[in-house]
Amino acid sequence: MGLKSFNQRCPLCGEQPLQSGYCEIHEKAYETLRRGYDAWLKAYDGKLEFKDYLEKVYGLKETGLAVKAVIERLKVRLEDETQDADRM
Amino acid sequence: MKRKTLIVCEKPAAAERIAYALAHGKPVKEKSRGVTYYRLENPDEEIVVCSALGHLYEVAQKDNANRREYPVWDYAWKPKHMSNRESSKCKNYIEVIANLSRNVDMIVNACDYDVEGSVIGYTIIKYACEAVQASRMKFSTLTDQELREAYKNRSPTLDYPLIHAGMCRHEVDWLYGINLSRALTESARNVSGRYATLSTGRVQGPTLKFIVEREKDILTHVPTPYWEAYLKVEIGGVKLKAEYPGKIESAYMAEEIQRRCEKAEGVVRNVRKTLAKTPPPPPFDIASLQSEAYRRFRYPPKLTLNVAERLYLDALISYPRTGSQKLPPSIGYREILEKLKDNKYGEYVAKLEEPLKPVEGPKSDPAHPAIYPTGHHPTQPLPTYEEKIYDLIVRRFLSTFARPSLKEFLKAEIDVEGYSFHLRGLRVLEPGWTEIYPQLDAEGQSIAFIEEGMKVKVLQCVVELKYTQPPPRFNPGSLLKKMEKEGIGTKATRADIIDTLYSRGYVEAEQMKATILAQKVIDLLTRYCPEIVDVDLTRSLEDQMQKIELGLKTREEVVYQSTVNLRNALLKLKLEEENVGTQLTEALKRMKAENEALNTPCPSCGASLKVIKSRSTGKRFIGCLNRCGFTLPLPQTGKLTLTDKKCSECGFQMVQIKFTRRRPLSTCPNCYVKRLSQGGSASKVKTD
Repeated sequence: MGLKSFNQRCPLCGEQPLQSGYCEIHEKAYETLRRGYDAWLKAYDGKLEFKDYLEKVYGLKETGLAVKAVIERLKVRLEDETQDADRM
Repeated sequence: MKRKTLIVCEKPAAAERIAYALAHGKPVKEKSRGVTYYRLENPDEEIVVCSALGHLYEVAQKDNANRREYPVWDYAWKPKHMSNRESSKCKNYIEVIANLSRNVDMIVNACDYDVEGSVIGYTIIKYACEAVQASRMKFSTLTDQELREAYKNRSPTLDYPLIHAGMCRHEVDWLYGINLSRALTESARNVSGRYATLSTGRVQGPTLKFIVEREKDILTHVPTPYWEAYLKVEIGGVKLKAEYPGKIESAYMAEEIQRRCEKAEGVVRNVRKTLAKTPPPPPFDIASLQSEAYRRFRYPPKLTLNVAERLYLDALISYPRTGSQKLPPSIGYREILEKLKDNKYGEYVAKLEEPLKPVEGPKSDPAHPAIYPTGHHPTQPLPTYEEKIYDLIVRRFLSTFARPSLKEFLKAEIDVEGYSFHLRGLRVLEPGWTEIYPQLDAEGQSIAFIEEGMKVKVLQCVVELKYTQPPPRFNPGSLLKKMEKEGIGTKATRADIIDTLYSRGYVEAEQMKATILAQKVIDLLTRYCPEIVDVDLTRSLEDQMQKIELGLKTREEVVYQSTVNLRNALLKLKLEEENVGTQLTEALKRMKAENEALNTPCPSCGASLKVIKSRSTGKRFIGCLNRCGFTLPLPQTGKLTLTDKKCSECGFQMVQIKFTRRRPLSTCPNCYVKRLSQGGSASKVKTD
């Protein structure tokens, strides 16, 4: 993945971002978080909403700090989307 | 006329031992400019034994050009005091040795017999004594007998392959260290206008990369749930624990196992007994001693090395900086064991059986055997660190002659409602060497009475929800092992490199956490000159230096090739200087802010607390940003780190103070003050 121009920054830490907009670490955190949902779905026999998954992972002491930062951002986005949907 | 000989030793304590060992009578102790040396009048020769203080010469910039400029390619071996203000004592040593070397017939290098010792002796003989001819004493212990033999059978010439390999290592390391560190430091200074020491090096870079990569894995870890189940059972009136094998990956299955097995009945199947004969571990080389001392006592590698060197200088153990796990018969097993019989190890020596043949490991070192006790008794009680390391070495040495340990492992399956649980047990049949060198984790439940077909009553089925763990952070012991496994650094330098990572602010805490600065330095080096932090380049240079020792390469060839590689890396860094400088400056600012802000609020007003340095006194303390007047004192010496731990008594954020070559101290500043006000001991702190 290539680098974005120098004056664009990762929204979570201000580091230089990759194409996704996140820096290297937050990009990796996002990817492991995304892949992790499959494992959690399997563990709970498909009965786990993505929002609940984020809540559970966020609350664990084993979760990496970069992952927690990504979750905080995703939660805000999800809330915004829910509010938009309610308005419509 | 008597022959005049000058013997050059590495350290004052070694000079004293050598002087007393070689003297026919008592040597005369003399002093000049604070430097002690010894005169020996033997029937046919007059010997002067003097010492250095480790290296008296080191690689430095040839001219006195601007210290901020890079690249620097011209270097020379210069007296250490000329480039390092802390080495002012070296000047007197050089002058005294130069005076003593006048009109001598022969000079002997009696520095430690390894690469560093050969370089220390050679540079003194060449630059201070201005001599071209010298002989070399080779010894592994500082016992009188071995020293006399080493002097009698000394090699007529210096060990040049070893010297060239050692000098090459110093030169290449200096070139890498000075140029890359200046490139980083100057990039940041040009942007921020402030000076901050930023360093990297040929071994330091790849070592730091191990820690940073691990930190990234921890930062991006997403735990996955799994379940573990075990049964509390009763068999034949005995309560035991049986485990469900492996991880249970679904909640449904975990619930199902618990529902069906709770209070159920089962039967014992497939009882298997296996005997395991475990030979003793090999004797210590320096790396295994450092790892074991960390595992057992949490001693940092550098501390273990220093303690082992003191034991060596007291002639209690053999030369510790060895890579060997061999104990050749020439060290005189029987004599050593006889001497060890006279103290607390007597009961173990008495149990050893003939023929005396030690277990050895695969590693060897052409210069020295494995670390072993000389059998000499300490003349006075040893301090705690020395006592523990000495005891560890003696026990390990003795255990290599002991019988293997014999254990019986028992494994049985328990069938409960179609699920198979495992029952494991361990019985020590013959302790063998473990009696001398106890193992840390040798316990197991006793199930020797278990037979097939026995009825099992399940008292409880316990199902536990667990989560996958992030990989553990390195600690000084495990990092040392990793460096050794990857073949980077030497047995003499690895511990120093780990210390440097702390002193540069790249890592903090005993479980080595990479700081923002470390992550940034490695990130930039990986992006612009990946070869510098690549373990392969460092390892290939180590191989080349080995080839110099074997006479297959010349020092000049290796230094030249290294400068070519380094030049390419420096060019890439130069092109990105502004970008590198900006990013380093940001990382430094973030780290400074993080290191000063506490996460415990002010107990008086709830505002944020910060580590503040007084402008008037220069002393550091914890103060409230709301200026409510709340303050807490902090230790004034040592490197201060705000840890993630909370005090178990008051919940305040703990701080850690790391001292050079001492175990770090963790303390709660809040409880410290409380204890002081209650008149208790202010020094009650926890050592990590």
